[in-house]
Amino acid sequence: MLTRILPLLLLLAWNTAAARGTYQEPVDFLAETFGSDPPAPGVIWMRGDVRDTTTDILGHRYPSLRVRYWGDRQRSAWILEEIGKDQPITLGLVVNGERLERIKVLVFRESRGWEVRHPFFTDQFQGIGLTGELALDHSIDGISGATLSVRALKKLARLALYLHTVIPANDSP
Amino acid sequence: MTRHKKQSRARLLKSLYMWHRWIGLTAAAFVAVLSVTGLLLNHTGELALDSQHVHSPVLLDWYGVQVPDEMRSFTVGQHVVTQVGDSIYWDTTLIPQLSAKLIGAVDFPEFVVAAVEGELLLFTHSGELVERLGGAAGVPAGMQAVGISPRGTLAIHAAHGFYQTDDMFLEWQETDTLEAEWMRAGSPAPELRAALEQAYRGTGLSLERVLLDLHSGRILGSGGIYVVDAAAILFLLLAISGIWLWGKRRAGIRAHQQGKHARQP
Repeated sequence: MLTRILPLLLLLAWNTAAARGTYQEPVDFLAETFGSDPPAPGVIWMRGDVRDTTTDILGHRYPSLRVRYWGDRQRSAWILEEIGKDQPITLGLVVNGERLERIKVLVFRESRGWEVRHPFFTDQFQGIGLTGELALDHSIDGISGATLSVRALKKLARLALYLHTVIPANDSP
Repeated sequence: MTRHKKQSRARLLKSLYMWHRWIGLTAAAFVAVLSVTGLLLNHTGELALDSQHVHSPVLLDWYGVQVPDEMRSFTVGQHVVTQVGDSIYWDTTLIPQLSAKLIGAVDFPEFVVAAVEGELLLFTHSGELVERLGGAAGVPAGMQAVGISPRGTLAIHAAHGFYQTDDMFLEWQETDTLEAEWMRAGSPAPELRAALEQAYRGTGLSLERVLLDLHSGRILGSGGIYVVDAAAILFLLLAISGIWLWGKRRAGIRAHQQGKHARQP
């Protein structure tokens, strides 16, 4: 009995440990998005309405006072973090014409919910935008056992779409 | 059934009742501990058990939560950034979600910059995090020291050379050499050290950890698991003996009633 269960337990432990980690360095994500010469970064300060709206979207204040982005009002890339259960999940997001072009889990530190990194899940966000109430305008199918990670990704998708709208006009960061 | 057999069965039943009672009394303490800890752990999120910390010196000593001897401090204006173990403190406040080697900290008019392995952390002068900068923001790899460049901006000595940045930390410039005022670590003042020791021990053990260990028995070390295993076996014995006694009692009552009916005219 033990000889049957032990390999399964070892496989499970290995799988969980292997699921944590850096899937893509943020700098490589930017290079993949913009080519070898990414645009200079700009920053959005979490002040006034931006701070309040961000707090509404996340359900708490963003952990830093300013957020960096690359690009302009047409196409922008963001590297954002949100805690799933205990640890922050680092996400790379590209917004193009107020719709999500792609999202990618760059660093996953949680012990559960790592399934959100797979394209079968992240591809659902492609082409999604915001409603007037700052909700996603298409539903996202969840993953059982990864509820908190799914929730974190949905929040960051909304946040990136919102922050894209507050990039200053004629911005050349 | 002979009288001898009847007496023997009565003795067995009496003995089983006695065992059932003693197993029940022994298991009661375990039932209480497992029920209370289980109930609390079921609501870890709502009760925020993972962010509440145990301050009892007895428990902290039991878990071996000790303060590392070495503390490295950098003074930034009126504040001090200190590394204690893997944790980094702004004065005596733990900087959350950060576990890395502190390389240095520099005070600028706009921000305070703390450099850790692979990242720069920008703080306001009141200790609020402005931004975390990593490789994507241009922070060079292999930082060894940070300081103030001759033009008053952040200077970095990294694995592949020297760098300096602009006032807003948006652009980086690489140079071959850089005569900068490099920051050196010192030891915290005795009062700060004492406060940091208290803060470090105070955040070293979460309530969730203690409850989990109470529930699994690990609070007593590796042997504690076997104590809880023994309790689980006691519960099983209690259930089996309870069902068996209930069946016996029911059969006895039924036999008694049948005999009563048979004797009636």
